Amino acid sequence: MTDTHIDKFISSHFHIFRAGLSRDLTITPSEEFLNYLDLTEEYANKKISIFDILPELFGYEGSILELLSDNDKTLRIPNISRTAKRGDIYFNIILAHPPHTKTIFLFVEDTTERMIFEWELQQSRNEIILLNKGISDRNIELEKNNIELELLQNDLKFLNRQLEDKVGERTLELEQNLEKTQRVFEQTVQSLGKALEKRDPYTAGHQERVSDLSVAIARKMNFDSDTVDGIKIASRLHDIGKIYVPSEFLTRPGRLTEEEFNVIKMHPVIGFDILKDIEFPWPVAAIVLQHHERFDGSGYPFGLTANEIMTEAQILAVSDTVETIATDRPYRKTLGLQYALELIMKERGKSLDPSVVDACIDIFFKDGYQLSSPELHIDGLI
Amino acid sequence: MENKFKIIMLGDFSVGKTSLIRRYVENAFDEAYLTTIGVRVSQKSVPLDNNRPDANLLIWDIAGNDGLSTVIHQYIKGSSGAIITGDVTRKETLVYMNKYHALFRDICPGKPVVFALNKTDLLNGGTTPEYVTRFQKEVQETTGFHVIFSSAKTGDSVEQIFMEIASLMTAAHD
Repeated sequence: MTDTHIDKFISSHFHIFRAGLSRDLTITPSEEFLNYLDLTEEYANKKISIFDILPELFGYEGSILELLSDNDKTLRIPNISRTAKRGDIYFNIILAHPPHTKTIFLFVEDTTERMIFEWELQQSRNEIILLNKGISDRNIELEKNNIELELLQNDLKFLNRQLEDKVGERTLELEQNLEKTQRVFEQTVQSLGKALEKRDPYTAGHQERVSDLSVAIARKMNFDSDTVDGIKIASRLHDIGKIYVPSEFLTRPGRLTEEEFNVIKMHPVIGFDILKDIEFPWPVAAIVLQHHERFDGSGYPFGLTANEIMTEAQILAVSDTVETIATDRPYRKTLGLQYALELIMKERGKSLDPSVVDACIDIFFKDGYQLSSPELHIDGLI
Repeated sequence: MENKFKIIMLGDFSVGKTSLIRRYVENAFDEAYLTTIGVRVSQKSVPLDNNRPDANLLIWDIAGNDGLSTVIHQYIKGSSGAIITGDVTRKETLVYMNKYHALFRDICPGKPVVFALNKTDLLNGGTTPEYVTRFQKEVQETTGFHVIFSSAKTGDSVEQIFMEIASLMTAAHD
């Protein structure tokens, strides 16, 4: 078997390609050798410098020279990669000076298959490492963010507590202010009522008593507390218009002339004028204006009927009637509560709203309501 | 072989050694990360001043995973210079730069080195982390070699890295 045959056998079976290296560092490569490195056309049948054919050996000149002078030496450069026409190839370069010979051999050993397998493994390993690193970095960042978040939450809790305290303080302040405003309001309403009483001692306590009775009737009729409050205030001021009626008309015993009575009949309108510009949260002025209107249209000032009259005013009409009859008047002594209740029963569905009359009768007979006694009795006037 | 220079690229895996070579030799960049195994030699001629023949750079790209194993000694042997690369976004790669420098100094004493801090395009808002600034200062103070911030992706300062090492190697050769 010739060297050529041996080379062919070794290259095809073991993927090792051999070339003899001369002392001038040139080689005459075999066909298989050139084929493997994709160099056939360029270097075929030529004496070639090993550095031209294998530039990877550049830098190893010293080692090669050592190898030329000493036998039983090898130089191995592993896993060199190149791109050939058929794709990427990997190979080892081995320079060997066997013992007891003058010949130096250059071997190129193909490792492509093993290296591609190793590449796949290494690529996966590196990707996992980088992925873990990414996850680890993100975890550190997350932990940092969590700490920051916790600090922010603590700050927020503190701010919330401060805010709650402030809201509490402000609410208390507002409640106190509201109470004060309500007190001032009550006092103002009371003062307005008292201003009238100064001119007409007989009405002293009248508005208060009418107010109490109106509230009781309204509650019996299941009005909401806000409406009840409106009725209460309107009742306490319902005769405020009488402030413009000459006091002798109000205090003189005996019957009034028609003209005098017409003057008195002006008091709902005057009361409306006095109250209309006050911003009550209830329709106080309107209730006052309508408190002498009657269910059957017989009232004044407009002769409104039934549904045209506010229910609050219908309640005020009933309680005003009961209180007026049940207490002393300048022109007569009290006719008694019994009489007052009989009268409203008689007027039920006529001049007075039947549902209001029913509620009024119920609170006296079923609930035991007691009309409070007049606070002021002026002896000798009647 | 008069003007041939072997340059070895050293650095941890995935710091961008292959990308720097590819940007310099082919002016190309690939976003996909493909690990290098074994060694691949690229060549590029660099014009030199004073009417001297071009320098032929043989750039050795080795696998970062080979780390400080014995096979790497074989690759480093006979190098005229080294480009030691790190990733500015991975602190641990800077530690490896110091180790590679010590190894290169042992195998190729007196040969020049350029330190490349790559992937500057990934810095958040362009702010250099404190550990990178500290590393740069330490390297310059202890070795006297240049630290060059680069981005193989944008091409920023890539040419400068190779020109710097070529200049240092030719100066040492002269």
